Amino acid sequence: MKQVDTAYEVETPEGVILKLRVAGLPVRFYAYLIDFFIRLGINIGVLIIFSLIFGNSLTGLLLIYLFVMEWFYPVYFEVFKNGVTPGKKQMKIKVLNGDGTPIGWQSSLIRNFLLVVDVFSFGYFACLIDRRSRRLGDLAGDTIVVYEKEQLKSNLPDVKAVHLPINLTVDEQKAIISFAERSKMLSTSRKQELAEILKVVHEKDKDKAVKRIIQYAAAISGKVGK
Amino acid sequence: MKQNNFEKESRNSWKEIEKILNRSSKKTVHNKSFPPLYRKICRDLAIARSRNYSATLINHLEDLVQRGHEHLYGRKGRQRFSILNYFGREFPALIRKEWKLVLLSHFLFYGPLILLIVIIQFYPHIAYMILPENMISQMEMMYDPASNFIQEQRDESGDIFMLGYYIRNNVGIDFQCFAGGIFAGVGSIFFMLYNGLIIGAVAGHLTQIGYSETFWSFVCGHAALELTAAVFAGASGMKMGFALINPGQRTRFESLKISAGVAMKILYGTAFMTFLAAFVEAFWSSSPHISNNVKYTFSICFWVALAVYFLFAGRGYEPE
Repeated sequence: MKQVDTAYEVETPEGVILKLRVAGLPVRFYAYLIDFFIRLGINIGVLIIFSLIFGNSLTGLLLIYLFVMEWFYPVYFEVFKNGVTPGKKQMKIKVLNGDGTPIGWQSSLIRNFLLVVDVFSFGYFACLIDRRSRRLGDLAGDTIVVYEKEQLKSNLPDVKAVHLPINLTVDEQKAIISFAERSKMLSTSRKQELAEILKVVHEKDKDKAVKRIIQYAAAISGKVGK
Repeated sequence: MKQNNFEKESRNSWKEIEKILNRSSKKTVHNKSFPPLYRKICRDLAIARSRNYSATLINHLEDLVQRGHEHLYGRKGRQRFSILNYFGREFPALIRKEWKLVLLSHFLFYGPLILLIVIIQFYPHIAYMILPENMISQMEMMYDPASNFIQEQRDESGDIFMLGYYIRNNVGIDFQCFAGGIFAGVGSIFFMLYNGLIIGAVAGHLTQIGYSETFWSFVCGHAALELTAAVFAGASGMKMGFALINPGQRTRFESLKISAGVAMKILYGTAFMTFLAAFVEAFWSSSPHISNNVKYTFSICFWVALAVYFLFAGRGYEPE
């Protein structure tokens, strides 16, 4: 079955497949806006400080500063901060090479010089049409924008393991473990509602039913039980 | 094996790899213990996946493998960029390798430029059809031999202001010429023709009304560097854009990717030339203390030097 998914798979030389989550147009646009305003703020600040200290005598240097900010602000962050500009950091996305490695000077320069073109024309369409949500600059520079991996901490609750009375398939076992792992994030009533679905659990008390499933999960994941 | 036992067995090596990854990334690449650890964690991930261990565990291992992958292969193909090698051999060799596009770009730029200079000598009104009125009067004021506008207006801070202005404006135009190439080269072609037309009209008009001495003595100094760089920037944009039209044996995407890399390499040197030209324009061309004959002589030297450089430097060098 083919899943409808934004995951983009890269195979490493070790034969392991990395799953990268491609970032779509809206989140990238927000990141761009954030960067835009950060840059604007910095520029205004520098402009004020500069004119207070030097007056009008060194406006030329200010122009060079503006030139650098216009063209190299994102390049600096992408090359030296592992593909993360301040805006991207806020949106939890980053730029990588097409093969999942951090990007270097050349790719970063290509994609950011083409940003001018993308922002004012086809970039949006390219971003929506392409399977990996790449704009023209990404196509030319062979880069992708992906979500930073979320850190799921393993949080199987520390309970006494109880073995299941029946055999479950692998998928069913996985479902039980995920339930246990997410139990801290779910509301009590939702937990109980989910627990009731399981016919294996013949507990009258709903709270006990939840607890019992978590104990099963502990057993499945290999905790030594009685 | 149950997940818990598996985790217990491998936990130490995962912790160790995490420690390496959390430390600053650059020096530890040479840490000899890293590659075996990384291979181990790749194996662990594969095992965890095939045994259907829990999502959080797999997620955690995926994260470590991803970061390890970036860590280990991140510096791939990043040979030291040698400025000496680039300007000594690679840049001129690239220009020669792309000689067809460079020639085309020259033609697109100098064609309208020279044509207009000549035509305006016979039909002066054409300048008014191309340039806006206020631009013409501004140019006439700047280059009027009687007014000494350029000398009077500028002291040292004026020079620095113009330097900043030229860098921001002209190098920015180079970058735009490159970026405009993404539309199958059309943007770059447009910029070449447009700039050729405008510059040709200005030069033709000022020559025709008899301001040639002030105009030509001003522009001749930096013309070689600046115009050649503009033409190269156009060629780099076309290199990228034409890859879409004529990908050859590659897919269009593959072809675009490779050509954009080559185009960017041309653009490095081009931007630097424009950067240098800004200094010449700000401090040399505008200097009232240098006689016009000296300026003309140096201009000829500049052109000859550029021609020699691009024809002969780094011969026999094969750019990738």
